[in-house]
Amino acid sequence: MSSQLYSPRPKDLLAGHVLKSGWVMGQPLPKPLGATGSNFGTGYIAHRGSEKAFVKAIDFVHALRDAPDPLAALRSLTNEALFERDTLKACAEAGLGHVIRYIEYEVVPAPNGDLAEQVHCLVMEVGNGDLRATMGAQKVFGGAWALKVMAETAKGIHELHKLGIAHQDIKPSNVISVPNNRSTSPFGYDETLLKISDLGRVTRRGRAGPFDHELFPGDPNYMPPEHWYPNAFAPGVLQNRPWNDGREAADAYMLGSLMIFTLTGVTLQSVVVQNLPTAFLPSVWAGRYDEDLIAVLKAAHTKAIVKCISEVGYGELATPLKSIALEITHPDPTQRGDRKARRAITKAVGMDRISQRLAALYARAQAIEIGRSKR
Amino acid sequence: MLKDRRLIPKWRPVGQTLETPEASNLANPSANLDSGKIEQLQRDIADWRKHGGIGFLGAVLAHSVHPAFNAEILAIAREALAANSAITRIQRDAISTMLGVADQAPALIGQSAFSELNLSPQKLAVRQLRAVLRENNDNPMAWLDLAQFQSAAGKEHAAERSIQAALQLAPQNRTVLRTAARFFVHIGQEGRGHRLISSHPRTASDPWLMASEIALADLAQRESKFLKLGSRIVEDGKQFAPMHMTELSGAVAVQQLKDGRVKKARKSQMMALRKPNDNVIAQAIFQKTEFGVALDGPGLDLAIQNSNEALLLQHWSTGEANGAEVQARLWYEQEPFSSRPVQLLALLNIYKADYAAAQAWLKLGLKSDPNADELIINMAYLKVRIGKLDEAQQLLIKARRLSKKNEPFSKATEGFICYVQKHFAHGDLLYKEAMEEFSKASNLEMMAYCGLFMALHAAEYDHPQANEHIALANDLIKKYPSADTNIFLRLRNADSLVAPVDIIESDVRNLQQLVYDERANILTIMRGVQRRNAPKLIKK
Repeated sequence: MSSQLYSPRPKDLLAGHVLKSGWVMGQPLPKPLGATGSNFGTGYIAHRGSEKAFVKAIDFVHALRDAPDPLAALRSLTNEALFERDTLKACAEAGLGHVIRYIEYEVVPAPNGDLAEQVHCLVMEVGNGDLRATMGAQKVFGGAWALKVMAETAKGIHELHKLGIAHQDIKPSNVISVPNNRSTSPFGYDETLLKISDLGRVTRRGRAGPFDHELFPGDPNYMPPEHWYPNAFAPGVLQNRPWNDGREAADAYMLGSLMIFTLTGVTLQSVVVQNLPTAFLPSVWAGRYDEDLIAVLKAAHTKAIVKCISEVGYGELATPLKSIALEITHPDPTQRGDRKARRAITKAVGMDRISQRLAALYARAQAIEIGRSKR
Repeated sequence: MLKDRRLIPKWRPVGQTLETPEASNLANPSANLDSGKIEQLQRDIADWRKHGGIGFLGAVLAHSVHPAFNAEILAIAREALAANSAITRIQRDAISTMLGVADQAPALIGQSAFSELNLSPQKLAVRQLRAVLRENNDNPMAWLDLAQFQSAAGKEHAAERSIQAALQLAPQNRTVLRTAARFFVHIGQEGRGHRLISSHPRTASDPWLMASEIALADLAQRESKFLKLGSRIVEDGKQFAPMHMTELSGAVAVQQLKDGRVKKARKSQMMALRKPNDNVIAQAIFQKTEFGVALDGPGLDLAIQNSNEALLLQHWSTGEANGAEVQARLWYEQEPFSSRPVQLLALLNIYKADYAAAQAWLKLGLKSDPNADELIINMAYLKVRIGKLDEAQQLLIKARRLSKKNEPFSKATEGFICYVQKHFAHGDLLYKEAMEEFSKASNLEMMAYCGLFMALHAAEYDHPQANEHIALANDLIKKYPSADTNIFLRLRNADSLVAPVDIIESDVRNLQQLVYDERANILTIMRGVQRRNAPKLIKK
């Protein structure tokens, strides 16, 4: 049977519904907007008095009626939903400023009492749109705005890493622009904040989660190079990597890819692949992820990053920006991250340092732009 | 004359080497990358159609890492270009590359093309490489390219530092190891190059490094550590794909030929020529007479076309000076540190009596390798031609100090000096000594070549016995014709004192036969060294 027989599904029928917590659900958002990466969620904008929120509604009809093993599918989806909720809750409790804020969670029971038809609602802070949309609205490409995106996303990743959470799916559709009510900048730099959304694919250190078994649960178009060549590793090597070299290093790479995307409108991966000699393409390479391959990947990354950043300009800021980009996209995951942090005894990826370095560049870029506007 | 050639690793720009099998992995290709998610691409396309803008277009282009989606992505890319949608320069470049309309294929490190004697493109390339290394100095490939330019500019110590940096960053990398070994040969430290490869743990399992070890041992006059193992691997023929066996088989073949095991050498050479690279095919052309095997067939023709050095040798052997010059220039662009293409370019220009161009090439070559005695002797000859006899003599002293192996050339050049000074008897004596030395070394073609120059210079400077010398030269050239004399005589046709003689190729053996099965109407290839003059096609 096809799930189309059950369409529209309960999660799509909440328009006008009032949640127990008082949120009044608006019309369902069109699916492709990319406000969420989950295949099973429907997005809504909800209101409560003057407050506005984004609601992600999930049901398990598909799991119970279409899956070959419905119970296993139900368990897996429930785990995913609860894991995401708990993670969001943990982030909210820790007061993370650059991660989308969790507000409520509640379950809307089905009128017939069918468990599969109950809808789980995650109520979260609402944004103005993701990075793909925000980029289109920019009058000047690159500049201080792009550095703001990088600095604030890095901050968000650092906040997550500090809590032992690796996001694993940093990409333009998961970076949301949120109004900043505490803006103080006369030039409008702080009117919005960039926050990381969609914690549906995270892994948590020391806590079992639904994606622990996946080497890379995020979007393959943004994944780090070690995952382009999964056959290049002996069994167990990728699975048994230390947390920093595996999960945190993957986030660092995705930040680098996001950086290139913000500056140029293309992903780092697509530029790098164009620079790779045929024998080293992921579809061709049959060897290990060894020095022969890493040296070539390194050269291809350097060429791509230098070209992309030079293209945008940035004057005196270009060199430190390239350094950061090269450090966080190092093809060797054990070397990836802030160079100084990596050389320390803890061998940390050092997203705190990366975030500070980007924030400093952002501050300098603002000063340069303010200086120019006064002239 | 053509300098002796060995099967040591080629040192091309890294971007070119990485496109050859010698940089690839020994295992068979296998698909790694996830094939992508079409639903996600469709959602991204729908988003772009709805919202437009560079961000949504970028999300569509992000799928270009999956070749299976190229058609869909290109359709959107064309639509975006046609509609004049918002697009960044890098997005436009990415689309152009996908459409195959990019200006040129991307080079991994930087551009190395420079075709004239002007050095500024080289300086530009060095500047680009330095910029790349300033951004990120842990890039071993960039260090290798920088070392090549530094070598070409004669900055031996700087080049060595760059090579050491690459070795330190990637001590296990095959391209780095082979390039480092080649560099040590360039600076005259063949033993060091050999030690690097022979003591490396990777060599025992890597046919490319093993091939280098065998060739370097020969060059350094040491015993090869891997010749026996390499011979066994070649004999077995199954351990690696033919493209990875080519240099190893070639190196083994050269050693077997040297040891007088001609039959085995031909078999190994056959293995080398199954999927030859540019190095092996050039070596095969260079030693065509010794091996006595035919170098034709589609695979070999293609390999020759892909090797500037092989094409140069082919043009040289057939006396086509223009073709040889074009290929020598291309080879020089690929290996600007090497004295070999420079020497041939200088010779061609000397033959054409374009002494200014010859001098410019020699200066370039000597800048990169000040101790290349062949170039020094050529420069000495050139100095005599332009009347700077003292400088010529100083250069000959320097050449003799460096090596004794080119003594007959030095003597012949001294003979020329005597002719210019009208000291004909002493000149004759020196020329004859040179010819005798060539004869003693069984290099009769070179003896004839020397006799030819003696005769032409005798005529040019009104030697009383010029006619006798010319008669002798004609006689020698008839008996011992060579590519060198032919190319020279064809270029200097106007002299017409000595006529070129066509070289008749001795009987060769084919390395394969086409077998036509009439009943089944099938054509198959049967590999194996054939008897002399065996037919290329047989019917079954």
